[in-house]
Amino acid sequence: MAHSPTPMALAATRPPCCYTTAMDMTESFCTDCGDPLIRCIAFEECGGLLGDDGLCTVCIAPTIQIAAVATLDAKIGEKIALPILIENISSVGRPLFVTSLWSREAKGEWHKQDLPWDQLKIGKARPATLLANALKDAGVHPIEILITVSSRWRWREECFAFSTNFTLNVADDKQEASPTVNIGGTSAGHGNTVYIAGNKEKSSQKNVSEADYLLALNRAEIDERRLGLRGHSETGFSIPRQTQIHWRGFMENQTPNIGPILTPDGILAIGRSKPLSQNGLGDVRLLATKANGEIDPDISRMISRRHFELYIECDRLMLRVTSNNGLRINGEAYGAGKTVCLNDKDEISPLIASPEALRLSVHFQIEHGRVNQVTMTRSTAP
Amino acid sequence: MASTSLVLTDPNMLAEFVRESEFKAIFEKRFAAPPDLAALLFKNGELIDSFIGAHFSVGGLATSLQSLVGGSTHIALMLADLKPFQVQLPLSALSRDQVEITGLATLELQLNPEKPSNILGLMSGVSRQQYDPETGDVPLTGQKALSRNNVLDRIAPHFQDCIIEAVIGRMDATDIRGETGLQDKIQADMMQEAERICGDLGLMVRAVSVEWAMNAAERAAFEKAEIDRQQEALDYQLDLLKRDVARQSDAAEFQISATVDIEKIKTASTDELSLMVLNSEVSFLDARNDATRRQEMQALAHEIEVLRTERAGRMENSLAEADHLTDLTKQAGRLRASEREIELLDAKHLAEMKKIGAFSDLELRERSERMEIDLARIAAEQSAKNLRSLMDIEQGGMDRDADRDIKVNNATTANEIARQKAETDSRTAQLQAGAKMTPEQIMAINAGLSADVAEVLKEQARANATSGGDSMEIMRGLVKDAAEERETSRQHELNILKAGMAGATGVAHGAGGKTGGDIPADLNGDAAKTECPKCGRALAAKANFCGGCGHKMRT
Repeated sequence: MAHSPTPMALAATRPPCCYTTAMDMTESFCTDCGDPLIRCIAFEECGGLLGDDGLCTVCIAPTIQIAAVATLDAKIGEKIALPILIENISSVGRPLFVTSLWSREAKGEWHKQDLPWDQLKIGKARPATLLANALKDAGVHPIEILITVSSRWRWREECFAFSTNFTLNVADDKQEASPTVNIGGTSAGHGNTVYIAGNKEKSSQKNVSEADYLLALNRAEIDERRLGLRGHSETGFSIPRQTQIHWRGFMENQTPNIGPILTPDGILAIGRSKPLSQNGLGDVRLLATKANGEIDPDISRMISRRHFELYIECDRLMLRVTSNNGLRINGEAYGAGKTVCLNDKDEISPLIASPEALRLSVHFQIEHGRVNQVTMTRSTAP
Repeated sequence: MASTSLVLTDPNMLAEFVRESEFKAIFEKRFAAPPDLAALLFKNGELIDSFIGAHFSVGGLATSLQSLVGGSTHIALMLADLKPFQVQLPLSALSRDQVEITGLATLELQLNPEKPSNILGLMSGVSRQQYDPETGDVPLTGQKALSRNNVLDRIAPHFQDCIIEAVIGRMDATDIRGETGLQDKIQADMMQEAERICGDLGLMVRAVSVEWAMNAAERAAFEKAEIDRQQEALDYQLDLLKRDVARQSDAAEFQISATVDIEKIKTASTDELSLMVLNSEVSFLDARNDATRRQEMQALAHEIEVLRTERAGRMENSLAEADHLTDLTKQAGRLRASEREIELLDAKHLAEMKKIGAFSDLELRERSERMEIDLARIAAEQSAKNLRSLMDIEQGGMDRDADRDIKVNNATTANEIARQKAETDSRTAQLQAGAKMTPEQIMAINAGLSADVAEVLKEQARANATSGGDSMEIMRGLVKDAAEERETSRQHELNILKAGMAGATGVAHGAGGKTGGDIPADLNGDAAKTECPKCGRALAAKANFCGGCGHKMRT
C-alpha cells in the first residue's frame, strides 16, 4: 500500500502576510501584498482566510482513514463492508459537521451510507462503515467515497464535499485465462529458461490493511453542485466570495468600494444608517429620494437603519431581512429573520407598503458558470 | 500450432509426472493442461509454480539458442487431477450390544483446486526415480505418482478408531440401519478429521455415506420372521383340514325307498308320511357306499399324517436354526402344541373311522405305535441337536473373543510400524529435498506448507519491514510536527504584528491621529505613519498597500 498522503488541512490558503494583516479587523486588504482579505465566516474563532476555492482550511479539516484489518479484496458477487474513521484534525476548537457519506463503485451510482452521528469535535475520530455493492466484474475496482461537511457560525453555514478513492481487488471465481509457459532447451526438457505468461495459481490470502490508512481527500466541486450544497440550485452558477459587487444609483460615498465583500464578518448591512466610513453602523446607506433628487424623509423614515443584509454563503448571494417591517422580493413579502437566495434580475422592494417607491434590482454577470460581478441598481419611483 | 492435451495415464491416478520422453523434440512442441488438471512445474527439482489450465511450449530454435547461453536446467511437469473422485472404505466395529457391525463407507474426495501444489504433501516427498536401474528396486521414499488408493491409505487409519468405533459403540445393533442422524454424524466427523489430517495438504472431503451390511442381530430377527410366516401358513392348512374332518363327520346323505307310488308320497302330509314309515312303506337308507366312505376317511387320515410329519420336520429345522435359547424354547413349545392338536384331531378321526368300521382295531394299534415311535425318534434327535447347538454357541463366543483380541493386537502393531515408517520416510524426504531448497522453503515444508507459500510469506515479511505500520507512524508524526510548526509560526507572526501595529498606532497618535482601540499604552511608540492618497486612511509607513481600499502605496 502506498504511503498515506499529507492531510489537506496543513496547506495554508493565503500567504502569511495576509493572516497577520487580517488580525486587524479594520483592514480589508493585506498591507504587504495588497490581496483582498476574504475572511472565514468564523474568523473570530478560527482567524482563517478563504482560498480561491472559498475554503477555510482551518475550520474544514476532515480526514478519512480506512480502519486497520479492513479487507480490500473481494470476489465477484461478494459485498464488502469497509470500516472507516472520519476525523477532524482542525487546529482550532471548532466542531465540524459531517452531513452525509456516499460511496460508489467505479462509475456506478452513488449510494448514501448510514451515518449515525453528525458532529466531529476537534481531534476526534468517529467510525462509519461503507457497504460496497456486489461487483460483477473481476479486476481492480476504484471505490469512491464522498463526504459532505459543513462549518457553522451562528445562522450561517458553509457546506463542502470531498471525495477520495481506493482500489478494491475483485477476483474471478472462474478459472482465469490460461498462461503459456515456454520451457526452453535443446532437448528432453533440459533448458535454461522458463517463460511464464498469463495467470497462475493465486494465493488465497486476503489483502487486509494492516493499520489505519489515511486517504487523500480532494475537493469535489461538481458533486457539491450536484448535491445542491453550493452554487445556485436552479441555474447552477456559483457566486464565489471574490465576486465584485457594483453599486449603481446610490448617493456618493454611501456604498463600499467596487469589489468583493470585505467586511470582517463578510456581511453588508444595508439600511438607513450611515456607512462605517462616516461613523455610522451600516455599509450601504439606503434612502428614498424624490423625482428631483431630494431625499424623501417620509418614505426614508420607513426604512430601518439596518434593513437587510447581503452576504455570500455556499456560493450563493443571500439576503437576510433584519427589519421588522420586512421587504418584498419580486413582489413576495418576507418578514424579519427570513433568508432568501437572490437570483439574477431579482427586484428587491425594501418597503412593503409602497414597493414602487424604492427598488433595488440585482444583475449578475456570468462567465463560465461563475458570477464575476453583481450589480445592485437602486431606482425610485418616477 | 495445435497443442497436445496432457492427460493422466490411468484413471485411478491422481497425480503423476509427465514422462520426459514427451518433451523430446527438435522442433517446438506445445502441450495444454486442461482446466480440470493442475500442472506443477519443477525447475531443478524445485517447485516454481502451479497452473490450472496452461499451455506449455517446449523446444524450438529460439529456446535452443538461449540454452546455449544460459546453460542447462532440469524441467519436470506434474499433472494433478482436480476432479472429485470416489473411494470406498470397508468398516468394521462393535455396537453397544457387542454385535459386530460391518459396512462400506463411500467417500467423495477432491484435491483442493486452490492449492494444487499442496498435493506434494500427500506424496511423502517427490522423486523422479521410479526404480533403481541397478537393482530394480522401487525406492522407499519419494513417489513418482499418486493414486486414489494412496490417498485412501493415508486417511483410512484415522477414521476407523476415532470415528467408526466411537460412533457405532454408542448404538445398539438394531438401531443402526436407516439412522440418518448417524450417517450425518459420521459424515461430519470424517470431514472434520480429513480437514485436520490433510486440509493443508490440499485434500477435501466432499461427502461421506455408509452402507451397512446385515449384522447378526438383524439376521436373527429376519430368520425369526421367516419362521413365523411359515408357521402361520401351516396353522392355516391345519385349520382347513380340521374343517374338512368336521364336515366329513357331520355330513350324511339318505336315500328314500318306498313301496308306494311316488306321486302319493309327494302329495302325502306329514302325518301320512309318519304312518308310511311306521308301516315300513317308506324307509331311509344311508346313501353313501361304505367302501367309498372308508376310502375317503383313509385319505383324510393319510393327509393328517403327512401334515404332522411335515410340521414336525419344519419345526425340527426351525429349532436347529434358532440361535437363541428363548427362541428354542418357544419353538419347542409350539411344536408340542401342534403335536397335541394333531393327535387330538387324529384321535377324533380314528374314533369316527372305527365307528363306521373303516379301520380294524389291529390297524389302529399299529398306526398308533408307529406314530409314537416316530415322535420318540424326533424328540431324541432334537434333544441331541439342541445340546450340540448350545455347545457350539458357547464355543463360538470364545472363538470370537480370541479373534478380536488377535485383531486388536495386530492393528496396534501395524499402526506403530506404519507410524515409525512414515516418520522415517518423511524425514528422509525432507533431507533429500532440503539439499535443493532455500531456507524459507525448508521452513515452510517443515511447517507443512508448500514452497510457493514460503515465497509469498518471505515477500510479505520484506514489504512489512519497509511499509505498513511503520509508514503510518511516520506519516502521523509528520502531520503532528507540521501542525505544531504552523501553530508556532502563526503565534510568532501574531506577536510581530501586534508589536508592529502597536508601534504604528503609537506613531499615528503621536502625530495627531486617532488612537488605536486596544493598543496598550506602553506600546504606543513613535512608529512612522503615512496616509493613503486614495481614501485618506492612516497607514504604517512600511505598508505596501492601503488596508482600506487596497491602493498601492509604493511603486
